[in-house]
Order: sequence, then C-alpha cells, then structure tokens
Amino acid sequence: MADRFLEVTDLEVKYGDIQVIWKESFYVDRGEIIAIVGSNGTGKTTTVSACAGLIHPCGGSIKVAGTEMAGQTARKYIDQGVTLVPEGRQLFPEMTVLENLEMGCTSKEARAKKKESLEKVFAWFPKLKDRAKQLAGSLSGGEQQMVAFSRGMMQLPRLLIMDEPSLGLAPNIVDNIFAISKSIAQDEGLSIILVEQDVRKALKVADRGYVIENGRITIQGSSQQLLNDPEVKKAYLGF
Amino acid sequence: MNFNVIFQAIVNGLMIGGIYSLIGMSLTIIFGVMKVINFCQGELLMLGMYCTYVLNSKLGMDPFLAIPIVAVIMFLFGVLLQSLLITRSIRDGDDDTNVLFLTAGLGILFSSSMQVIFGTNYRSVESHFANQTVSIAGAALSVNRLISFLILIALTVLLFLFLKKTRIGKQIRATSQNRTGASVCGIQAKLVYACTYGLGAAIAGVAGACLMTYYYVFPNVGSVYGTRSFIVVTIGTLGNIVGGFFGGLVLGCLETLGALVVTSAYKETLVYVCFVIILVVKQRLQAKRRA
Ligand SMILES: Nc1ncnc2c1ncn2[C@@H]1O[C@H](COP(=O)(O)OP(=O)(O)OP(=O)(O)O)[C@@H](O)[C@H]1O
Ligand SMILES: [Mg+2]
Repeated sequence: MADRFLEVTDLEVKYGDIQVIWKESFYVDRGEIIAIVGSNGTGKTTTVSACAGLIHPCGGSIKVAGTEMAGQTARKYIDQGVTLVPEGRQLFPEMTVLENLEMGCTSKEARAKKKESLEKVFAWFPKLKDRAKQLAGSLSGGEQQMVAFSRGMMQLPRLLIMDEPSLGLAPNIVDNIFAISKSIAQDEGLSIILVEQDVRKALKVADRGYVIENGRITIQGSSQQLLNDPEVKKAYLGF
Repeated sequence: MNFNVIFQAIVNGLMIGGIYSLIGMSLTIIFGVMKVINFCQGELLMLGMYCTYVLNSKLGMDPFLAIPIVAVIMFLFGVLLQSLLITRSIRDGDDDTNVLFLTAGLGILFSSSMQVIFGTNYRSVESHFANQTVSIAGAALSVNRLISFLILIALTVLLFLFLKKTRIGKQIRATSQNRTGASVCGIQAKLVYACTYGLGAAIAGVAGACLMTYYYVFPNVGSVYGTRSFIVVTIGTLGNIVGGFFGGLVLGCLETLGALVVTSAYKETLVYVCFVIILVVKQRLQAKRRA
C-alpha cells in the first residue's frame, strides 16, 4: 500500500441531472502504467477529468498520495502531482510552441526548473526545438500532440494522465510518445493513466487495465489477462 | 473640395477614433476571454468621465494627471463587479442571456445613479491645455485631442506588452484561446476573469478621462459610446484587439469624412450605411477565403 499514488473509490459523476459514472473504483501505484479502455461515450474522459479536478464528482473518494482530493480545484491537483494531457490536445493555437510549454509551468517549483524541463523536452523531441517560435496552431497533428505531452511534463507530474493521445496520429509518433513515457515511468517512478480506444496498443504498454462500459468498470486485470479475456477479445480486439 | 479640408477631416477623425478604439478594445478583450458581450461598456466610460470630473472639481487635478487614478479606481471597480455579480450569472452550459440582461441592467443603474448624484446637467472640467491648438501639416488640432491620441497609442503598446510579457497577461491570452487548455494548466479562471474585466473597465475609464478633456459629461453620455463600441468591434472582428484598434480609427474617420459629404444631421445615417457596407464586404471576403 505504501506506493499507491492514486486511489479512486466508488466514483460517481453527473452532468446536471444526468449521471454518467457509477461506482468506479481503481488505483495506480507509483511507477505503474494503467490503461483505461472502452468504446465511444462510455465515460473515459469524464472519469479522468474527475481525477484531475476539472469536474467535481457527486460521490466517492479520490485520494492522491493518501490525501483526499475530491472537490478540490484543478490547481490543487496539479500541486499534488496530477497532470492531465487532455483529449484533443487543447493547445493555445495563437501562442508559440515555447509559450505553450511555458504555460505548463504552473507551480513555483516547475517555474524554477523551467530551463531543465525545456532541455529534456527538446531532447525527446528535437523537432520542437526548431519549431519553438512557431505558433502552435500551425503545427501538424503529431507535433501538436508532442507539445501537449511536453506541456504536461513541464508541470513535473508524478501522475500523468493521457486522454486518447493516439487519436488521428501516425503509429510511429504514438509509439515514440509511449516509449518515452514508459522509460520515465521506469526510471523516475512516474505513474501513468493511458486512456485509449486502441485497446491492443494500450495494453501493450500498460501493466494493468480497466474496461469501462456505460459508466461502469466491467472488466479489470493485468494486461496479459485482459488480452486473453474472451469478452475483451470479442468486443475490442476484433476476433 | 480641396486636399486640406480632407486632411483636416482625417486628422479629426483619428482623434475621435482614438476614443472609439479604446472603448472598442476594452469591449473586445472582455469578450475574448469571457465570451460575454458587456452591455455596460459605454457606462463604464461614463463613470470614468465622472471620476475625472470629481477629481478635477474637488481636488483641482488636471484631467490628464487624473488618468492613473481613474485607471486604478475603475480597475478595482471592474474587479469587484466581476467577482461579486457577473461571475454569478455565467455558468458553463448556460446560454448567455443572463449576463446580457445583467450588464444591460447595470448600465441603466450606473446612469441613473449618476443622475441622482449629479443631476442631468452637462458638466465639464478645467484643463491646462484648453483652447490651445497646434498645427500639423496644415491641419489645426487641439492639444487635448492630440495628447489623448498619444495616450491611446501608449496604452495600446502597454496593453500588448502586458499580454505578451507578464504571467497574468499570458494567462489571459491562454484562457481566451482555449479554456480547457487553461484549466489543465492550473490557470484559475476566476482570477483571470476578474483581471480581464478590471482591465476592460480601466481602459474604458481612461477613454472617459481623455474624452473629458474636450467634451462634457452627462448621465447618458455612455449610450452613444456603447453603440459605437459595438460597431468598432464588428468592423475589427469581435475578440481581436488589433482589429479593435484600427476599427475605432476607421469609424472616427468615417464620421468626419461623412460630415464633409452630407450635413451633420445625416452624419449618423452615413456612418451606419458605411457600417453595413463594411459588414457585407467582410462577410463576402471571409466566405471567399473559406471556399
Ligand atoms: N459536458 C457534458 N455535458 C453533458 N454530458 C456530457 C458532457 N461531457 C460528456 N457527456 C456525456 O457523458 C458521457 C460520457 O462521455 P465521455 O466524454 O466521458 O466519454 P468517452 O468515453 O471519453 O468517449 P470518447 O471515447 O468518445 O472520448 C457521454 O454520454 C456524453 O454524452
Ligand atoms: Mg473521451
């Protein structure tokens, strides 16, 4: 239990009167990568948005490093080390790549370490160094995802949540981002939640996985177990 | 019609346009961030004018020297207004009608309060440069208008530096470009909104102070400038600050050049006709660019 970073118990979320998440419980250990998979509109984005403080749950508990965080602001979650790389990247299109990255320096600590973080980012993605002065809106989809991932890493996260990073991107770019994340998880103990519709790809990187169907976690287990699960095979792996 | 007359009209137009630019930019910056059309922008300018009037008549302060004080007072007033009232009428998912009614109502409240306090008389201030003129390439120009215009330029430059260089300025831009992106970066929307509204009120207030140096104030003076500000932001594209800057100058010149062609009774009509033409042409151009 000592190395549990995020622990979510009986999470419930409503939009107005409409409940979309029911009694979800899951956890992430330090240095662990978990996958959250499921088809369109089942509540993946809603689940992780709640875990980053963007929306407030109407029930259940969200513990980050042992501290109860449900109901706190997004800023508090960031200070606790939770970073969300949102679905659809959500960059600032009329700011330069560099400015976008700087916006990731939310906390004092992140601002103090800005230079080192930038060096790291440019080492991962040398392309971004050439594009640093270019407006983010003029980048290709792949480059934008690199910026979104890097902007998240500028926050110095301890838990990085990536919501559908692969959407509409070439496989090699996604593989590159996954490889980088995995090595940071192994070397620095970063925990990662990977939300994906590409179930096979996600489970290849992740240690464990959860399947969400209609706002409920229906199947969970190690990546191996899920890959061999007959229902998962039938519904998500296409055979 | 000789060249000098036209040149004089353009110079005059730029001077009037300077005020329009300021109020247009203040409206556009609030819209850019909060996606809300502030219907009491003209009344904020009016409050800036009364502020200047009070500082001048009670403390004998020159209107230009009063500008920093007016700016601070209006900034704080804007921050209060936003964080106590307006914020309550904006909720995600709601339509914008609440906040439209609220700001329009506030506008009425402000002008009637001024009417209660100061009455309906026209009031003006003592200015150091009153009745002084300079001549620029043959065009006569009142010193007060010239200084006002220079203040507009300086303020625009400062505004850009503020948005480009400071942390809160960058947060304001980020919020206007992508709200979700801003919240995952831990930007506190409340703080940004309060600051933006304060900034919008301060700019309108400064416009009022400048206007006060050569015009007079009365409780309903804001309504004219409020309407003008809508034209300015439509010419310059709502949310675009540079567009607001030039939109104001264009509108000012339209008015003064129009007065050369038609009698001043029809000046307004001409302005609106030109406005409609600009709208149609802009629409066409945009449609063409999209196609
Ligand atoms: N802001 C909102 N207001 C109301 N309902 C919403 C809102 N956002 C999402 N929903 C609803 O909540 C449900 C879950 O949506 P969510 O975006 O979490 O799904 P998802 O699993 O991320 O889907 P996708 O794979 O398409 O991204 C959907 O039925 C959706 O229509
Ligand atoms: Mg989603």
